[in-house]
Amino acid sequence: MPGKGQEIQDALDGLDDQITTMVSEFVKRRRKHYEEAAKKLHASLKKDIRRYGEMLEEKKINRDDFEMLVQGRWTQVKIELLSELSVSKAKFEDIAGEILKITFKTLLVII
Amino acid sequence: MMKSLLLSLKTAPFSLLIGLLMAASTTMLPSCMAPFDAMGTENVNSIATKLPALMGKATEAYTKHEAEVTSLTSDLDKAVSHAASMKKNKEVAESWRLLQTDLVAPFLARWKDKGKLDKDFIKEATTQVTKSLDAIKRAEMAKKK
Repeated sequence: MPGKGQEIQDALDGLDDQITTMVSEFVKRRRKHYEEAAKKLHASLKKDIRRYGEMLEEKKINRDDFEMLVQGRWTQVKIELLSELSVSKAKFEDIAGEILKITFKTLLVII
Repeated sequence: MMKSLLLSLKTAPFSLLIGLLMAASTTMLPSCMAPFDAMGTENVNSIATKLPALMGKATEAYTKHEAEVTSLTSDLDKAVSHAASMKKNKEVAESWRLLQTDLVAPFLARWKDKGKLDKDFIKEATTQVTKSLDAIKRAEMAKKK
């Protein structure tokens, strides 16, 4: 008759596939989200820089204004990317918490 | 019969202990990000209201709004210091720093230098600041309560 240790080991081994699927789905979802966010950021950046160029051409702004706006737009992108990273960390915490819950629930049933 | 009853009595407290450990682990597990920051959220909401409004006044003489600029610069300093003082808050702290040094400070310096700014330039610069503050707000709101 297998001991408790073996029973626990088997139960934890049984979780391998479930956890792998959970993490894999999480990574896939985040990757899709990143790709969409990158496309959106790039499209919006191009649109804005083109508009600044047109404003310069129409003399609505001068060369210094243009350079400052381009520099500022780049800073905006950096801040938006940092925000994405921060939100992603929060989501990673969710998935780590889910894994921990499943593991403990499984052990509780055995013990 | 008696043995199984005794065993069930033994396992119940043990399960309870495991349950308590589980609850403790999920709440005390080392986190990779800062917990919800009420002051950080308040800072971003307050500055998101005041800053675009002040930037909109840059069509008027800088000297007329100098006191407001000083007050807002002080608020921004406090927000930057607060974010930097929070643990596991690297991204949000860096965002505040970038907002202050690369967006707001150059705008205010230009306003002071030129006296007044053109409305088209103000509109674009304000949009950049507003969208950056929105991004900081999203990062603050993602923190767990």
